[in-house]
Amino acid sequence: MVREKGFSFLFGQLERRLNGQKSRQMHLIRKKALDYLNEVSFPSRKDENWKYTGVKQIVELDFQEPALSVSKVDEGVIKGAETLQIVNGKLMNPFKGVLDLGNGVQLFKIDEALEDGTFATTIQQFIDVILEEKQAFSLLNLAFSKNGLFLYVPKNAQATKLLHIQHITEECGVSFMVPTQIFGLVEQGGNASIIESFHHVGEENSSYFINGLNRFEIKANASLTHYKLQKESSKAYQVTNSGITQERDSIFTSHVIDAGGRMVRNNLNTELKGSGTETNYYGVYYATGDSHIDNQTFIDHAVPHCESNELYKGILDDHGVGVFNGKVLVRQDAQKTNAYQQNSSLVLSQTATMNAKPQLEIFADDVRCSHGATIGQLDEQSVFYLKSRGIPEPDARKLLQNAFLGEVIEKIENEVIKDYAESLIQ
Amino acid sequence: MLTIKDLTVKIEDKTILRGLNLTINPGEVHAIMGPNGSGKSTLANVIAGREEYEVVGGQILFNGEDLLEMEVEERAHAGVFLAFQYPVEIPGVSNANFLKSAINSQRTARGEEELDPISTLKLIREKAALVEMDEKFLQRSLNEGFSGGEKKRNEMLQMALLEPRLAVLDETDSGLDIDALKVVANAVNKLRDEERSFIVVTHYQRLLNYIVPDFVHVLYNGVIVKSGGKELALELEDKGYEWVKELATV
Repeated sequence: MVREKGFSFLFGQLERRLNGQKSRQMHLIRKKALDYLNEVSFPSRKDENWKYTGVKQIVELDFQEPALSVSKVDEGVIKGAETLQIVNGKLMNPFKGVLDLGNGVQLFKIDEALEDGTFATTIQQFIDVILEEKQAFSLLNLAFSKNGLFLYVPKNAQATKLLHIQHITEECGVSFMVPTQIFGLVEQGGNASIIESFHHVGEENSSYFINGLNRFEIKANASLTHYKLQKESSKAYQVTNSGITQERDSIFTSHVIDAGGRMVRNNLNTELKGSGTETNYYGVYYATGDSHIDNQTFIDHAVPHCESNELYKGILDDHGVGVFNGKVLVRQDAQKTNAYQQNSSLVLSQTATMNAKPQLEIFADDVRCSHGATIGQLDEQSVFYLKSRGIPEPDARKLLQNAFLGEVIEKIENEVIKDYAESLIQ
Repeated sequence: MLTIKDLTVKIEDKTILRGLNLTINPGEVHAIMGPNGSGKSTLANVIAGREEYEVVGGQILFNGEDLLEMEVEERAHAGVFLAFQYPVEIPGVSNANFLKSAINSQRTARGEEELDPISTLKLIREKAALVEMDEKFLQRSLNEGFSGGEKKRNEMLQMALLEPRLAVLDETDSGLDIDALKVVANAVNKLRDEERSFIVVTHYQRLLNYIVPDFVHVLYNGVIVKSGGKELALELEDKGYEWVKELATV
């Protein structure tokens, strides 16, 4: 898109397609987000947090309206899960009002829930915070918001169905943008999992941009596990902004598997608001071809007696680029914090790159914190050992690569999800 | 089966083997003995195809084929097996999966069908019993945290599964107690037949009490300075290696 025409032009197109929804709350939010967006600029490499990842290519894409798919895609289904499929931004299993996931756990469409129902205020609060943060990509997401989802987990409840949101893109000859939104509120003692998968079908001719926005609020004693399992096309751009707040004794676990895409950027931020919490970040990045995968993580230890574990491992091959910037802040009041961070990468070709930047900022004096970053190659003694048993060289190398990443994937407890995650790095 | 002619090998500009000759017929067990630094392990590793070694002269024929032209995995497919002095630990690769991959890679290379998972597991269990290995070691990561004896036992398990035509044991006895030594020896003795040959590289005579060799060769300074029957090992045990060194200077 010619930047001068701007997103306002695209927005005008969107408005013309809206059928009598211009006065709805969601659209008022869109307009506000667009106004804000016009006031801010997209991050540049001059920003410390974007030093290794440029976004110019994304912003300058010639975004158009994608062709809408007519039928569901019969791929990447996780057995036993309640699957919602979104193809090129179109929800393929439309539901009205609410989707019941068992034991009172419910999934809503954000635009509908804003109009009526119990959760309008909760959702509006999520949105107000995002608007105030004035981050370009989040504002862009809200301005073009479509198919946003809200998960509600009542007190002490656990869904009987596993929620799998399948984001699929299908080659349709033009570049397009897909905003995705998931908000969640897990009430005290509740327990939930959300699987988001991203994959592409068809030729890999056109660029597209997935702009993800997630916000989760986890109340006392509650627990949430989020999975991002991604294998996009080599022309895909993806930026995901996830913000989590955790109250007393809650657990949040994030599993991120990135095995595709031209450029992928994950921003994962957790704010600890109560003591006794546990935060687990597990990430795998597998960048081959021209893939560029950037993980920015932040854990804000603001209160005492919290624990965070961070393990990111990746493989960079061909012209692949990896970035890991993991920031852990332990504030002065956050005594008895346990914070562990480890980032390990294998760089397999002369032209591949890894940029690792662990950042621990500790202002409390009675804490246990550690971090480590390693960058290496496959162990040639191990390759020889496997080959000497008749295992062909490519298989031997693959076996060792999978073993390296396996340490992270093993953290996924659900076997079906683990199998799916493993299939992405084959 | 194996003919080594005038083999000269360098590592980092240092000549280790200096025109070594050795012929092994089907069904024979040859022990290679010698003091430290004589080139015993170099010989074992060159046969297996380790890249750090540079062959600057001579040839190795294995069943008439030029072994030195073959890739490491091709040598394995042709029936060469090296039991490592220091087996590598590979975290994250389960022993069972590794064994399955090895068995099926070799079957595929020979044009045979892969074994189905159940038959593979049955075979692995059967051979694990042969080398008296506890099945819990099958589920663990390959050699990770194994004791010296457990690692060598695992080498013997691989040998039993892959049924090589020529097995080279590179100081398999080093660091083993007498029980572990017997396990290694039992595995070799059970696999001994008129077709299969062994090269047993060892510093000590001890192992040869349990694996009785057909021939004993003394390697010193990169060449075989003396060959004989099993009684030569006893002589070495008795006299040490000093007299052998004198032989070499004659």
